[in-house]
Amino acid sequence: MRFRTFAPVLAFGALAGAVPASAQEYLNFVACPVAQDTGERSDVCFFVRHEGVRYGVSSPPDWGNPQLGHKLLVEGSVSDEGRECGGVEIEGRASVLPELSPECDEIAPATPEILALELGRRPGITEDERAMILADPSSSLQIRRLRALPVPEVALGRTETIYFPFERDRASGPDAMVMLELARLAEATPGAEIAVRAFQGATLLDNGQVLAEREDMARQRGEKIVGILEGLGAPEGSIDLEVVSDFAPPTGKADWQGRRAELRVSAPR
Amino acid sequence: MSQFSLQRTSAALLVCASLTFGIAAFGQGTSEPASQWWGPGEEHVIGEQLEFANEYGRLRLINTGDPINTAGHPFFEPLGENGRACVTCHQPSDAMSLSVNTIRAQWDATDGNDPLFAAIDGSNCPSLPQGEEASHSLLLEKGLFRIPRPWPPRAADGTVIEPEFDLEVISDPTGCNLDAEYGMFSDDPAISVFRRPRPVANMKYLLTLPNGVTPHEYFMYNDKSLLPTDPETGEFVSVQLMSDGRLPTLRGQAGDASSTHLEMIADLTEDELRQIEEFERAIYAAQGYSNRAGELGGPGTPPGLGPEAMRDGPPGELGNNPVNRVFGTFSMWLHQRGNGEELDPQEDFQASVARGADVFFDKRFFIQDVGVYNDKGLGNPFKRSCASGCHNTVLAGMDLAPGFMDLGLNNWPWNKRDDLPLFKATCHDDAVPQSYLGRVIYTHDPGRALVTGKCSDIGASMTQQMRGLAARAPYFMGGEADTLREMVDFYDRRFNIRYTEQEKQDLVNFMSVL
Repeated sequence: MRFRTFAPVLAFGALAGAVPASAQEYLNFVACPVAQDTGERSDVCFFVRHEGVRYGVSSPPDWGNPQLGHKLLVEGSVSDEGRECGGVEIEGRASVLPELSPECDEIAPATPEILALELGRRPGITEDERAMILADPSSSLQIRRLRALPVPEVALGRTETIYFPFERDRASGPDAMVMLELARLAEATPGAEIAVRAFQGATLLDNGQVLAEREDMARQRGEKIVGILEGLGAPEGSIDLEVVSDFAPPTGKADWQGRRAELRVSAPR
Repeated sequence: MSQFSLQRTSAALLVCASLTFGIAAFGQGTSEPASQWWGPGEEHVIGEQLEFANEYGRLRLINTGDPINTAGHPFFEPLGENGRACVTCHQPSDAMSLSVNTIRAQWDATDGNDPLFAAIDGSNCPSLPQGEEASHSLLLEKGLFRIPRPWPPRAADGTVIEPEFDLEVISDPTGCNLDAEYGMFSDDPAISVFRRPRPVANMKYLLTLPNGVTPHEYFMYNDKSLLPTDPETGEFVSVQLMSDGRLPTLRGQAGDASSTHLEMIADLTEDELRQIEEFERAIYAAQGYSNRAGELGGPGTPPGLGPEAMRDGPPGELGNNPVNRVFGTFSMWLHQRGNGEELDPQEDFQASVARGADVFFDKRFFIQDVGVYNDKGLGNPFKRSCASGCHNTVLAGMDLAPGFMDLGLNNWPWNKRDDLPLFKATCHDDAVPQSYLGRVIYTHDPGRALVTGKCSDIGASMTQQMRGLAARAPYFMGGEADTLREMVDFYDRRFNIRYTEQEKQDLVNFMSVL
């Protein structure tokens, strides 16, 4: 979930003197996330403190929000535009590390400065809607659905890439829709062949450490994807799985892209 | 339970002798309560509508199918070896579940000889002396039946699932987990857990895949694995039916229950399965009358109340937005008088219900450390209300997203019980740990993990529908809350919500009319 704000940038007490990394600079670090309360009627957002700077954390939809009780692997570049959760925005990925870290337990209260940013607000009921319900109470039970996620376009011979959080095999909702469409495409293409290449990755942290995923992650991701595609109707025997357990040496620049799976549906040769 | 009544709305409705007696003897306000128990093999007729008294008013059942004569119907006939029928544990008076009050009354009425108390799962362990009340304490005190699950877990086709964790019995107050014949070291190793029967009503809400939340009509929300499929049709199915999701279809559940709970030796026939499924799909239940709020349903009352709303409502829809709230609007009960005008007792109670609905829908709190829930992408914590968090299905109130969660009811530290077995689960190094309890977990019921074998699923179970609550205490899978107030208190404690006393009472009143 992404909480953007275009409200004026506010200084945050103890962090005000720190200098954020410059725009486009890559950052790779592990830190405790902090949950920021944003008020009685709004969602929380998350930030991390790194070298005295507050960075807001965002990720693509359904990728996986930060979790107290766990450290967060932050990989990205500093944005020169947006602000996130009252901090500097990082474009990239944030992964919840699986093992417990009980020391990560901070919920920052909603201060007047935070409330002023109006973070995490959701639309409330309008006066028109209230009047409608008053006039016809049964309208309060009418179906109102969320805006549907866009159906991804897939094509024969085109490679679709799914990226994963660190040491996870859980795809996001939009990624799941890509798999759904690929399975449909394969089912509709007589003799279709599906190639799945699954990878695992490693990240070069700013402190020089390399954080590598455990050995069987590529296999785990690949087998899960194959099971999903088959379950969604991809023809039996049409899937070729390649597990790539070796990973390229991490560079500290978008290393999260190494944690991926590539999927391609092809017409028979 | 004080009174019994039956409303007859169809001229075509046939009423059997025993029910006619029920109306005549107890429908006129006489002080002696009638038994509302429907025994296996008894003849009753279920027409369009039935009502049963409970401490908050009356539960109303609607039958959308043809009138049913229970005599000879496989849901109501004792098909197995122990004399039970499906109705034994799914009583119409108890919203098609079974309240502990009913269980207690049946023990007293039969001196413990009713098939309800069958040794196989109506006692703490079949090896215990069955004539003693203490041997049935979990059923008598908490409404819990023994559910033996194979250990290690087995898939539907019988193949062994290699669990990601080891289990150790730390305490075994029932004796069944270490029992030579029934325990985890027996020839047929099993883990005995103890669970409440879920209501068999309003089934379309549990069986319909979620609408409008693509791709979750195909995928579990939590780990984005695929939903199960109906073994007979191959179609994707919801996992709302059972607390651990092990059997996703009515036919599958009926078949399993007939051999386990009824100890039926032969399989149900195709015709029996069809009749059971048709009946279960036709029944809707909700509180129909409140002693303090009056009639529930109909003009001038909140549109989400009464079983008619369940019958007519849309299944599989998300109700966590401010317009179509989960149970619809209660605003007509909120301000019935002008400023300074005194409310009469009924209006005062209705206002409390409406405030409770607002608390349920609007009051946000930090939802934190819920295994298989906060970790499914939502963040830990996230801030929601009861309705916009876990109880978001329109009219039914369970979580629409196909997925399980460990609210804290099964695992330490949030719930510690002396009456239930306690297991120590130690997860293997290569397993993904339970998100908030790690690799060593003390649990009274591993829940979904007894189906999947996954460490991360330990203690997780499926949310339940919220209808007919007044008729079927105690609450939660393990019967933790004896009353609606205890249920509210659990949530208040678990999530540090700090409800005011007024808010707690409003919530209780609200839930009492569902």
